[in-house]
Amino acid sequence: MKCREFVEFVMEYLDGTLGESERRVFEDHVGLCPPCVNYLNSYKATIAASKSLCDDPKEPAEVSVPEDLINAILAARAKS
Amino acid sequence: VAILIDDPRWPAHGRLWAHLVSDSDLDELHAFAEANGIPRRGFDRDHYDVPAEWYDRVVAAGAVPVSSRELIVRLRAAGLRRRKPETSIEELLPGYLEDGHFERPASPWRTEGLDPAERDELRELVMRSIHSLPEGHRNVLLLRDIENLDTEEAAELLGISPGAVKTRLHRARQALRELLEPHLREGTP
Repeated sequence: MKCREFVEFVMEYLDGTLGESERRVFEDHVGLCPPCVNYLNSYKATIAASKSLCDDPKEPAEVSVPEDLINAILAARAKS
Repeated sequence: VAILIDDPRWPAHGRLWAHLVSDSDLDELHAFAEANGIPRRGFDRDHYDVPAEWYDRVVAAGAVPVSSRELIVRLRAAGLRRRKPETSIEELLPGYLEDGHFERPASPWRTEGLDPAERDELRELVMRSIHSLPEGHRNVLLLRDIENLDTEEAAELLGISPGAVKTRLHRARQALRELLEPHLREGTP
């Protein structure tokens, strides 16, 4: 496995949806490639950084969710 | 009618910068900048970038300190907001050498043990970086990683397939990671 393929598999690896043999190849590569270890950790930190935007109650996330999308979310939540 | 300035906390070129805008017209902004020795090359679409060390002087000259959020809101209300043209997601993905290794190997990041000021800075950096993602990818990231919707819910809301949601999410995260890396790798002040 090369770094390019490794990156393609990162999300599925973290979601736990990689097949057994792919997971083994992925983890073997992690053991051999320090830049990919850094990539995996920083990919996780990126997700955590996005998620942390809505953790701060004093200032809700100031990201420009388009208005029609907000309305669609609110409608979907009202339904559920 | 006011000249507004936000906190000097935006990192670029190894310094921190504030944004200087007008809430009424650009001529007023250019006149204020010229009167206060802020060079025209610091003007970018709708604002001047002002280095942190000039902040006190610019405020003393009459610029009103506001939060970044208020600055954007008032700029938009004045109809003066000019966003950067959208970059394509391809330009934001990692580059590879012919042999499949990274062009620029990923570095370890420093995201633990941040003090409150650094956490605020990180938060603003993440928001700004998410803003700069192409809209289709940004929306997926907002719904999945911030609104915590699952793949199927996001697909339904956006009118795209669950497969497309997954692909866009992974690309959006990769692009966001690339945008954050220069600011968060270990050894970055």
